[in-house]
Formats: sequence, C-alpha cells, structure tokens
Amino acid sequence: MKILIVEDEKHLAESMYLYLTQESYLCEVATNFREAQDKINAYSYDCILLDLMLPGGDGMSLLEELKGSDRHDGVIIISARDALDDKIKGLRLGADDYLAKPFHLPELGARVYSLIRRKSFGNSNLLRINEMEIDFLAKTLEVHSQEVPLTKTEYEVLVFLISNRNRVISKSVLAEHLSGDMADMMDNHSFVYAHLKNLKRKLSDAGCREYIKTVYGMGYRLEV
Amino acid sequence: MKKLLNQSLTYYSAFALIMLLLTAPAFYWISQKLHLDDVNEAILLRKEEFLLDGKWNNLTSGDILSWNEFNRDIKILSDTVRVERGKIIQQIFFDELADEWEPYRVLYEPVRLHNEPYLLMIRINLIESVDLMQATALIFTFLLFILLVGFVLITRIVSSKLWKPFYSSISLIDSFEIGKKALPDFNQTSTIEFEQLNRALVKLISQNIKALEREKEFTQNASHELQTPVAIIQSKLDLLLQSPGLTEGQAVILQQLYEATSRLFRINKNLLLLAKIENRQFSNKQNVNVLEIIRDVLPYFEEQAEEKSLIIHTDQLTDTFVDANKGLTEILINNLLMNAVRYNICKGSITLTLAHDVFVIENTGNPQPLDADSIFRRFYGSVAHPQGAGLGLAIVKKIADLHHWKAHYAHQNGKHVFSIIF
Repeated sequence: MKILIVEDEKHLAESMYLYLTQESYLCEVATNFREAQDKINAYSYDCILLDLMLPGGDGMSLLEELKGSDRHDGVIIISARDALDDKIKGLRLGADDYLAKPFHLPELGARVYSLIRRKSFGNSNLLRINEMEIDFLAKTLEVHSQEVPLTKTEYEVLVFLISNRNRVISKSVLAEHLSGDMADMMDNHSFVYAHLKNLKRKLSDAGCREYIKTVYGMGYRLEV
Repeated sequence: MKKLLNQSLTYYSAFALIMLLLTAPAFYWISQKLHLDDVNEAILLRKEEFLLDGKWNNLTSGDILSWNEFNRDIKILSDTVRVERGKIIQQIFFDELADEWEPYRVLYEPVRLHNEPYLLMIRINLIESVDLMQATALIFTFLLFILLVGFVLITRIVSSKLWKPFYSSISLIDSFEIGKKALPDFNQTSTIEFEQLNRALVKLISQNIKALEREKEFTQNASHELQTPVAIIQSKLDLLLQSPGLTEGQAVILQQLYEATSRLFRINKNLLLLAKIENRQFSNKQNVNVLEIIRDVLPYFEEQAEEKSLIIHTDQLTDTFVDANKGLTEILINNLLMNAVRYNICKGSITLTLAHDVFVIENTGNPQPLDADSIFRRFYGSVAHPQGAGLGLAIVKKIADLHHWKAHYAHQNGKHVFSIIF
C-alpha cells in the first residue's frame, strides 16, 4: 500500500511518515507543491494525504488535476484552514475524506485504513482476524461465526482499535474519535472506559480471545 | 442637567436684571439733576426778563394786587415774608385746582419799588419730575421685558440654527456602535468649531475601528499560526506513546501533556471561532428548528449527565423556528448545555424550556450567583474551572449578538438560569 504525504510542515510530515510506516504502509513525503505534482504525475498511490496550504501553490488545484485525469488514488485532505467551505469544495472535487489540523495520528491511521479498505475491497468488505470477522459494510461483528450484537459506539471503538492495531491508543484520542466535534464538550473520558468495558465483556462472552489490552495509565491496545 | 443654551440664558438674564437695577436709579438721579438745573435756569431767566423790562417800576400798590391776582408763578410780595432770599430753594405749595400739595423751585429776590422793599417770587412746578420718575421706571421695566423676550427668542433660534450641526453630530455618535456600523457621515457645517469637532470625532472613531480590526486580525492570525505547532506537538505525543518501555511515571506525564495540549487546542479553536464570528464570516442563514438541534445534541450530554447522576428535564420543548446560521446555533446550544453539565453538582438537575421564541436552560450548581455583567466575557471563570476554556459563554454572547438575540443570566431559586431570547 503506497501513501503520499503532501505536507509542508516537516515535523508533522515526519510524524505522519513514522506512524504510517510502522503500519506497514509504504510512504513518501512531498513538502511543496512542485514536488507533490511531480510525484503524483510519476506514480499512483493508494492514498494521498493532501495539505491544502503549500508553498508554491494551492493543494486544491492538485486535487482538481488528479480528479480531472481519471485517476483512482484516494485523497484525504488535511487542512489547518478549518473552513467548512474548503471541506465541502474538497469533497465535491472528489476527495474521499477531510481531516482538520490538529489531529491525532491514530485518527489519521483510522481514516487511511478505512479509505484503503473501501478502495480495495469494494462491495464485500470483510476482515478476518482469527475467530473474529468484521463486515465493514454491514457494520457487524461475528465471533466463531456467531453475530455479536454491538452498539454503534462499541463497533466504532473496535474498528478504531483494529485500524491502529498493536498501537497504544490513549483514552483522550478514543474520546475525540467517538465524539468528533463534540470532543470539546466532554469533561472526562470515563465514558470511554464504560464502552470499552462493555466491548471487552461482549467479546469474551462470545468466546473471543482477549485481543484488547488495557495499558495502565496510557490507554488501550488491540494486539494481534 | 440643563441645556447649555439655557444656562447661558440664565447668565444673560441675571446680567440684564442687575444692570437695569443699577442703572435705573442713576438714570433717575441724572435726569432729575438735569431737570432741576433746567428749572433753575428758567427761574433766573424769568427774573432777568422781569427786572430788565423796568416797566414794573410804574406799578402802583393797587396794580401789584391785580398782578398777583393774575400771575400764578411770578408774584410781588411785601417784604414781610420770612424766607431765604436771593437763592433758589425747594418749597411746597397747595394747589387748589389739583387739591394737593405740590413741590416747587422758588426764588425770592428782594426788589425796591417806590423805595419800598418788596420780594419778587418766581416759582416753577416740579410735579413733572414725579411723572418723569414713573415714566423712567415704566420704560426700564418694559426694556427689561423686551430684553428677556429677546434673549429667549435668540436662544431658540441659536439652538435650532447655530447648534444644529452639534446636536446632529451628537445623535450620530450616540447611535454609532463600533464594529457594527460604518463610520458615521457627519453633516457639513460652516462653523469652524463644529467642523473641528467633527474632524476630531472622525479621526477618533477611525482609529478605534482600525484598532478593533487589527485586534480581530491579530486573533485570527495568531490562532492560525498556533494550529501548526499544536498539531506537531500532538503528533509527537502520539508517537511518543508508542515507544516501547515507557514507565508508568512517564505515561502519567504523557497523559498530562495530552490534556494540556488538547486544552490549548480548544482555547485556540474557540478564539478562532470568536474572531470569525466577529469578522462576520458566517453569513449564510437558513430556517433552523432549534428543537431539532437540541434533540440532536442531547444524547452526548445525557451520557455526561449520567456520570453526575443529573436529571435532565426536556418535557417543555416545542418547535421553534429561527432565521439563523445552523452551525453557530448548534454551537450556542452545545455551549449552554455543556455549561449546565460541567458546573452542575452531583445529583443535580437541568431543565430545558423552549417556547415562545425563548430558550431557557436552568441548572443547579454552585449556590453563589454569578456576576451577570462579566459572565459573558472572555476567560471569565477560567481560573476557578481550569477544565473549561473560559470562552464558551463569550461565544454564546457573540453568536446571540450576531443574530440580534439576547443572552441573559439570572440566579433564581438557587438555580442558574441562562436564557436566549430569539
């Protein structure tokens, strides 16, 4: 899986690069408009992470170029502009997702994972991890071929942890993922704890191995 | 408080009154003196005439009787009257016609007729001088009246004509609100002072507008610039959390860093939002059902409320449509709800009421009432409640202002009551 990171802020690009590389993605970085243009013209990517404000040009025109030339690279817009107009325009131009800065790397990981799965598996989007089987389209979980009824939040937690498997995910990152724009409104993250407790109980009741580990003081990790 | 013109009118009137009171006696005295001199001169002139003629030497004593009979004011008297002679004096005589005593100027001049001593008496009635005094008083009263009427009229005219530019400038500034209206258009005036005043006002207001704009621009730019470093810090924390062999102590520090960073991010985001609202970057309005928004966001808060065992009463909500920016209305509702949850006590309650274009949110909490004047200001209370960004209510106020709604706080029956009047 090849990912192009278009980001002019070197430290941020480096963080994204490090996090996604560990995820066994093949990553490349472009730090300005020209470089990004050259790379996009030369290669095709499964996913392009596109910053809109670039030295040398507007990221939006790269998107236009890309979508005008009948390419199927997935695009996630990453912008500090935080403007609704940008989001709407980007998605209309064919971007697959939009992520406002600042974001957590696990959130980025989840978005990339979701995009790539959608792009590569089309209609039957099933993931099998030993006794677990997740249907990303129907949003259901089966353990030992038996459906485990999950609430919407529990399902989201599970997918988020799977998207960032073998990584420590802190409670606050999970809370922000679950509540989205409402994260500001949340006082504490104990509701995350409640959801995880339920999820773990449901999994073990269904005879699933204990994949989700609590990392004391830090958060959770799904180990496979 | 009195009008400036009325104040000057008071001074003018007082001055006029004092001047008249002072000048009236002086005028009376001078005119009386002039009159007396005149009368004295006339008496002396008549004496000269009488003596110069010489015909009186032919008068017999019988003639003198008839002379005195027919001459009222020049008489020849026998020298038996005891009076001061050769000098004009003041005396009163009884006037049979008017039946009263009247003042006279009199001269008794000793003359000799047929070697007999006689007294020549010449007198002039002074009754006119009393009339003069009355006339003077009358004229002065009339003059005072005319002056006062004149002053009032002139003041009226002056106030409506000369001071018109001044009053129009004042009403323009009065209705001017910085950040809401363009620079007021002051009327042209031909008065130097008012022109100066208007120029100074225009200068002052434009400087204020510029300062406000610079502040807004600064907030927005600063927030924008801060986003990138915050994003970098956050991403590095995410990476650090993945390092193998983190100790428990390090993990705790990391969590604290996470929390501080997300608080920094929230403050920054809210400042940016405030700047954007102030810069009127949310112009698109639509018909919004406030009830729908409340129903949408309520589940998030119900989860939070559960933690504190709060009871949320939502049975008094009716459809309410407003013409507003949907995103901002959501933020307003969110901030108010978050406030009610965050600053609530354990096992407290929240009551929502939405009806008749008023949204009221009532919650238990700290029994002390909050300062209604400063509660909507930026960073009010952020010291006491560090988990909040201190901007929630400031944003509520700004959003309300933008839509011409009223945001109101009251402390009633031990509860904090926030209301938005649409």
